[in-house]
Order: sequence, then C-alpha cells, then structure tokens
Amino acid sequence: MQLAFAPEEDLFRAEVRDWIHANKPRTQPPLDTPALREYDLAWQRKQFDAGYAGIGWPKEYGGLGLSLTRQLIWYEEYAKAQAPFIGTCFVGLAHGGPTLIARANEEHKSFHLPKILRGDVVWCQGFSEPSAGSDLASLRTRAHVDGDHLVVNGQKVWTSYADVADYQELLVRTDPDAPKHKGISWVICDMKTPGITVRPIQMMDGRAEFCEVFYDNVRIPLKNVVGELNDGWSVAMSTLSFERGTAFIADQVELAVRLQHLVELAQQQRGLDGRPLIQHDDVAEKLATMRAEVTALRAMTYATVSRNLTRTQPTAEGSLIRVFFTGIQHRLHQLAMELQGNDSLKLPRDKHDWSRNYLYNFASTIAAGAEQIQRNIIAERVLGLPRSR
Amino acid sequence: MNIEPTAEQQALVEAVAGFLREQLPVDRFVKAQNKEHTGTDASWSSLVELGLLGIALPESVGGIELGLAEEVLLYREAGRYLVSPSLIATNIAAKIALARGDEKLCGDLVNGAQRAALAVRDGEDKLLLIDSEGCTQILLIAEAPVLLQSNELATGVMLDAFDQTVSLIEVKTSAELLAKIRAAINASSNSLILQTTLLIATYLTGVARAACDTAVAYAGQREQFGRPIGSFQAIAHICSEMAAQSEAAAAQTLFAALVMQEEQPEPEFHVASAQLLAVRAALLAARQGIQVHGGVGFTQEYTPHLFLKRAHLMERLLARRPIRKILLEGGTFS
Repeated sequence: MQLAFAPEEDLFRAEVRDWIHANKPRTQPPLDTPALREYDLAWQRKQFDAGYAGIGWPKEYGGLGLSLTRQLIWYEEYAKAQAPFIGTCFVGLAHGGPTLIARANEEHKSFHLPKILRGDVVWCQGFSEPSAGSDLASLRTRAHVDGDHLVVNGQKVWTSYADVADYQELLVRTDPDAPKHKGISWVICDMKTPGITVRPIQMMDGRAEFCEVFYDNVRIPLKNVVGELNDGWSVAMSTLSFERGTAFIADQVELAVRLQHLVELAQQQRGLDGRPLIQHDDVAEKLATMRAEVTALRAMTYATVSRNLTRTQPTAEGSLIRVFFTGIQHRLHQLAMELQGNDSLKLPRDKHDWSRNYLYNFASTIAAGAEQIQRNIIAERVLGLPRSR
Repeated sequence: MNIEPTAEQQALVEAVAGFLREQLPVDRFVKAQNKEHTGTDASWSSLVELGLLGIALPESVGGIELGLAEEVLLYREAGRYLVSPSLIATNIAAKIALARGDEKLCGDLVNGAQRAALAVRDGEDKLLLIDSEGCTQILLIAEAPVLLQSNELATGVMLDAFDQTVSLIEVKTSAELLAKIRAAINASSNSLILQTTLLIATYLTGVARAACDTAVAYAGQREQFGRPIGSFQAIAHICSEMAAQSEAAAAQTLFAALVMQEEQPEPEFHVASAQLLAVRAALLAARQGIQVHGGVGFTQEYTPHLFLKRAHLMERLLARRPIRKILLEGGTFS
C-alpha cells in the first residue's frame, strides 16, 4: 500500500503537464454549439497528432492503452491546467467508442474508431425519451425489420449536441412483445439519414446542448446493429465496464480548482461590515467543509483506481462517490451565487462563469443517473437493502 | 500508487474484526447488568493479545513494527465495537514514552502491565478522566497530548457520564500541574498531535460504520405496511447518505495516514480533513441510525444510543485546533 507514484510515473506527469500547458486552447469553449463542435474537434485533432488521443483505449484500436495510473495522472494534469471540458467529443471518446470496442464487429470498429480518435466526427447518444428517463428500459422508439434495414419511428430527448453530431448510438425497441429489457437493440445511426429532425432545447444557462430528435421512417442498415438484435440492453450495460474510475478524477480535480477560485472570491468580496467574506464564520465554515470533502473525493477516487488495478468488475461504489461529488458541486455553486453579490444578477462570459455554471449544474444531479436513482443503487447494491419495487 | 490494503493487511483487519465481534460485541453494553465499563482488565488483556497496543512500535518493546496505516485500519475496527478510548490513550502514551527513552514504560503499555486513559481539560482548573480506573498513566488531550501519571493527580470525583459505558472522573489541577502541562505542550512533536487526532478520527469512522450497519440491518428486517422498512425510499436514502459520508471519512483517514507515513505534503491539512469528515459522519450516522430504528432507537434496550453517545464523547476528546484555518489555507493543489 503506497500513495507515492513510481519515478517513471512522475516523469510521465511532467511530460504531460508540459504538453498540456503548451498546447491547450487559449480561449474558452464557445457557447454556440456549431462553434463548439469546431473548437472541440480541433483540440481533439491536436491531441491525436501529438499522440495523446484515446488514453484509455486499447492500442489495437489506435489508443494509447495507458495504465490506469497513467490515465489518472493525465486527467489530474489536464484538470489542473484547466484544459477545456471534452464537450462534443464526450460520447465518441468516453461512451460510444468504448461500447464499440467492447461489442462491435471489426467492420464497425475499423470504420468508426479512427474517426473518433482523430477528431473527425462527433457522436451523440439516443437513449432517453420523454417517457423513458430514469426508467430507460421502458423506451418506446420502434424499429421494425424491412428487408436488410430497420425502419425507425419515435423520439429521443436530452441528446447532447445532436444538432452537430455525425453518428448516434441509438437504442430502439425491436421486439415489443418481449420483456422490456429483452426487446431493445443498440444501433449506429448516421445522423444524416433522411427522416431525422433535431430540435435543440434551450437550457436555462443560455446554451442549447440538449436536443430532441425525431425519427420518421428512418431507414438504418441492419448491419449497423451492434451485438445481436434484441440484445441492445446488454450492449448498453457493457459500456459501464469500461469505466474504471479514472475519468472521474478530472471532475474531482476540476472541483478542487473551482473551490480554490471560490476561496479567492471570498477573500476579495466584502460584506456589509467591510471585512472580506471569508472572515465571516458561516462562509469560512462552508468553504472549509468543502475543502475537506473535495480532499476526501480524491482519497476515494485513488482507492477506486487502486482497487481496479487488480479487479475487472466496476462496483456500485461509484454511485457513492457520485452522490458525494454532486452534493459538493451544488453547494459550491450555491455559495458562489451568494458570494458574487450583485454579479449574480448578470450572466457574463468570463473566466469563472459562476452564474452560468450554477445554472448548468442543475443538470448534474439529474443527468446520467439521477441522484435519487444513485441513492437507490447505493441502498440496494452497496448496502443490500430490499428493493423498493 | 496503489492504496488498496494488501492481502496481508486485509487478513489482519478481518482477524481483529472477527475477534472483536466475538469477544466485544456492541450489545455487551445492553446485556450488562451493572453497565460495566469497558476498561476492565478482562477485555484489556484481549486487546493486548491482539497486539493492538504495539502495532507501529519496535519489536524491542513488544511491538509488531507495522505503520500508521495499519493503526488507522485496525482502530477503525476498534471504533466499530466501541472499544475503550483508553486504547488510543495507551497507544500514544507508549509512543511518548519511547520518544523520551523510557523503554520500560513503553514496554509495559504494550504488554498490558500499565494502561493509559484519555483526559481533557474542563475549565481553568479541572481535568475530566475517561475510563481511568486501573490506569497508571493519563494522556491529556490539550493542544498537544501530554502524558501524566495518575499518582500526580489529586483524588477525583466520579460524575454521571453522558456516555455511561465509560467512567467519568473529575480532578482538580494545581498551579504546578498546569505549569507542567504547559511545558509539555510546548515541547510536544507535531507528529504526535496529528497521530492522536487521526486515531480518534479513524475510531469515529468505525462508530459511523457500525451505526450505519446497525441501521441497515434493522431496516432490512423491521416490517411495516407489509414490507421491510428499508424498501421504502425515505429510509433507504437516509441509509445511503450515512454510507456515503462514512465511506468518504474512512477513505480520507487512510489517505492521511499514508501522507504522514510517506512524508508527503500537507499532513496537517489531510488530518484536519479527516477529522472534520469523521466527526460529521459519526454524528450523522448515530443520529439517523436512531431515526431509522423508530421508537426502539431511543431506548437503552437497543444499541443505537451507544453510537450516539460514543460519537459525542470522541468528538469532545479531539484536541481543539484551528481546523478551519488549516483547511482554508491548504489543499490548493498547486
């Protein structure tokens, strides 16, 4: 049991830190989605050209196949450098791509994976529907077989960046008579296929990341099915096995960096009595508590990565960390709104974007497994309490 | 970097936990007719046999030469079973004795011939001793831990304790004693202050864990409205919150131990983080644990009240330090 990294890892850390600092974009990501796509793809291409694309992807598919330890180091240095959030490249690199690696055939992989790594394409995720959020398996978008195609009709919602995506990982119901988890297929959908309409949703932070996507007799080749027909649920679940706790490191370091900025804000802003807000007991108490919590997050993430060095199954403990993390994130942004004073009347574009991030942050306890669901997962799978249904 | 406990460490933890579960189950306090205190000779000799007093000490004094990380792992188990806080007092007392070259005293504390008890200041002129019967040494938790001899203290008065599983004795201090204490504080090593704090913190994470486990077990069995109450989300979510805070605190205590062991930066900051989270986790789990038990939770016939009282006791035994300042100034990641 050892906290310190090996000397060669420290060398790697210095190397990536230098590269990221020298090469990260000098401007913030644009708020407008099409501009964001260009920004993100250019940055991805730059990382690819320098040999830093797909750090966790197997080498045989063009990735670096870095050890978990080195992935952790990369994400730490990336976040410390405040390099931009992965944005429109997220689904391709961290979700769709890994799913293809786990379950797709060689033709799918050789066609799609290089494009994702090179920053040529954007992927989006067609999972949730108006009637199927937390209860994803109840999804209704239908696909029936017609010759060597699937014909898709239905609707998806909360699809990030669908308006600029080239491909979509799409879950459709191909057998409405089977039990709900057993009648779903996972399909690669070309977003330029006729019959697809995308409608961005205005989010309260002023951006339009999430979209509705409508399918009107959209014809998708059967060969785009990943895994077997009606086996899509297991394909979707296989994505989870890719995540070993390292990607979360970036979020956690970013939170630590934001907290430091919040401490600095509290040092600058003055209260009614003219004293810096950080000298006010309640403010100091909240900030000190968050420092301890953010530090514990790092301890938990290091523990998770350490466990995953020898184990291949992710555990439900990820939900524990997630719940802990999102709680801190919310309180951090709530406090930022207080400490900003009248700046919270504004919605500027600046280095910290407190107001905007506060608004965006409401999505973090809802998206990708709502907090209440995460708490159920902890209760049932970590604590072994009886199911609520 | 790999901070997962090794197979040997896990085996050691399981062995100690198994032993404590058998010999010192928490319901021993519920069953005891005369509410016997935990610092009795019978249970103490078990702790000595397990090697819990010399975990990080040299073999020359009877120790097993492991480290602070093992102490943190094992004292968490001690917290789960509400072992007498004298365990921590004796651990630190032995280290103080060794540091001052008193191998005889150190050896005695490791082999059970002598025992130390925790104490805190109460106002200007009194000390409160916790579970001090039969203890020749007193470890006073002031700004730094100070080792005193029981026979230097005036005779005390037994008080009714909030945590009635430990004895509470009040003694008056003399000006001379206070001066001695002041000098010892000034001479104390930062490492010992941090170790004492960390051991109490890890003990608290054990209390948190035990309170959580007890609540979960109850919620899995107690039925109302035709089903176990743990299947209702309101109860399940209370338990999830307990578990999340308890895990976070436990992870941070171990991390802090490794930071100290490996002389990594900011040990004060890491110990302060561990302390804050451990106290919060233990109090939350203890309070919510009572809530989950419903009516039986506030009786003496079930165990939840024991976790609550012990959590408050241990919180009071932490040295009063400027945690907030330490936390605000550290952890900047630069």
